[in-house]
Amino acid sequence: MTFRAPRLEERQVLLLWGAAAGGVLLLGWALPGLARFLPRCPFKELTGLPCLSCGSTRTALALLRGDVGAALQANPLAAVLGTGFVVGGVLAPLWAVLRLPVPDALPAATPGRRAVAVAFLLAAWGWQIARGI
Amino acid sequence: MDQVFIPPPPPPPPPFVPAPPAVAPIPWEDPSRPPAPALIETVKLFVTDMAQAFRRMPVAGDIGRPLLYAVIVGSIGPIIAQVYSLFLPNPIYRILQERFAGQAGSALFHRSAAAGVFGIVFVPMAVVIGLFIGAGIVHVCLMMVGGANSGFVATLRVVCYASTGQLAQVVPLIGGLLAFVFVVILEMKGLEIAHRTTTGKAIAAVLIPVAVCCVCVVLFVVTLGAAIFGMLNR
Repeated sequence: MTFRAPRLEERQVLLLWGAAAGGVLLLGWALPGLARFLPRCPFKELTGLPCLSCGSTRTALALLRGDVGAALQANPLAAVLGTGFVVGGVLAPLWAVLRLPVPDALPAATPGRRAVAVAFLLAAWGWQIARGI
Repeated sequence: MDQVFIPPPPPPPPPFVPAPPAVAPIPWEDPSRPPAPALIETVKLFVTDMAQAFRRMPVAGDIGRPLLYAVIVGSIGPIIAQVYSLFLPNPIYRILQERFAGQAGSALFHRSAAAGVFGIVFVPMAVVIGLFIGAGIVHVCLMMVGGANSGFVATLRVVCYASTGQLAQVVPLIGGLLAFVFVVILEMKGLEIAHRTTTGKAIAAVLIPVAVCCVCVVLFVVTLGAAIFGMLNR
């Protein structure tokens, strides 16, 4: 993989990432108040099985408290993605301002890689079902 | 006798083929146009002929203009919807008030002017958050179905201009649902054109997150809709 200086639109995307993550953290203070009013998952109510995103609210609340263990317990996929989003959102603006190198091209989405991604998502869902989250 | 080599005559010049006319960018992407008329013309173009609009949309380059467009156009509908909620009785809030009556925090569903103003102030921030996360999810889904041919910036541009659909929120009561459908249709058409992919892959990329991640939301909206109709018929 080769690296190069980021183009204008790539630096803008990095800054946007930072703004979005900052906005989430800023609005996060309202989540604990709102969370109690969120309905139970209708998919789980209807089928008895958790959906892929079941536990995401608990994950977000735990992450806002800084309790990574509880976040991983509630929904590991949401915990990893949420943490990556926020940590990346802190680093991305620095990357843009300092014009640090970015990959010349992202890895191609070959059929094999796509199959792995789908299998990973299904595995994450299966893990939620097996644990009865 | 020596033979004299006579070179063949040069081939005739190829017939003149005029270059295809350069497609003019959408008005909002034309820096020579004044902003307000360009904004209105762009909105009209996306509403009346979304295919042509997305064909004229650049798929790369500065994303400042698309972002500004999305923040302006994507905020108008929700802000007007917030203003409605200050003056019009909202059946959804009435149901939530009844359901959570007496519980801690139920005051959230008693709309006050302060709550409305709070919502209006934070709409642009929510638009920015939604653009980035929404474009990211749609792009990953597009990669998974093998349709991402033009990079993330193209997807982000499509999502920015698809926020034109949020204007449907100016319709009272059902505006949110109309806006959701309109945005989904715009995103499908935009992805198909910007990524030069098939209609099926574009539809899949937009609907996979709706079906997988937001199945709860969809079912909740359907349940709530049924409850609202039940109340209205009572």
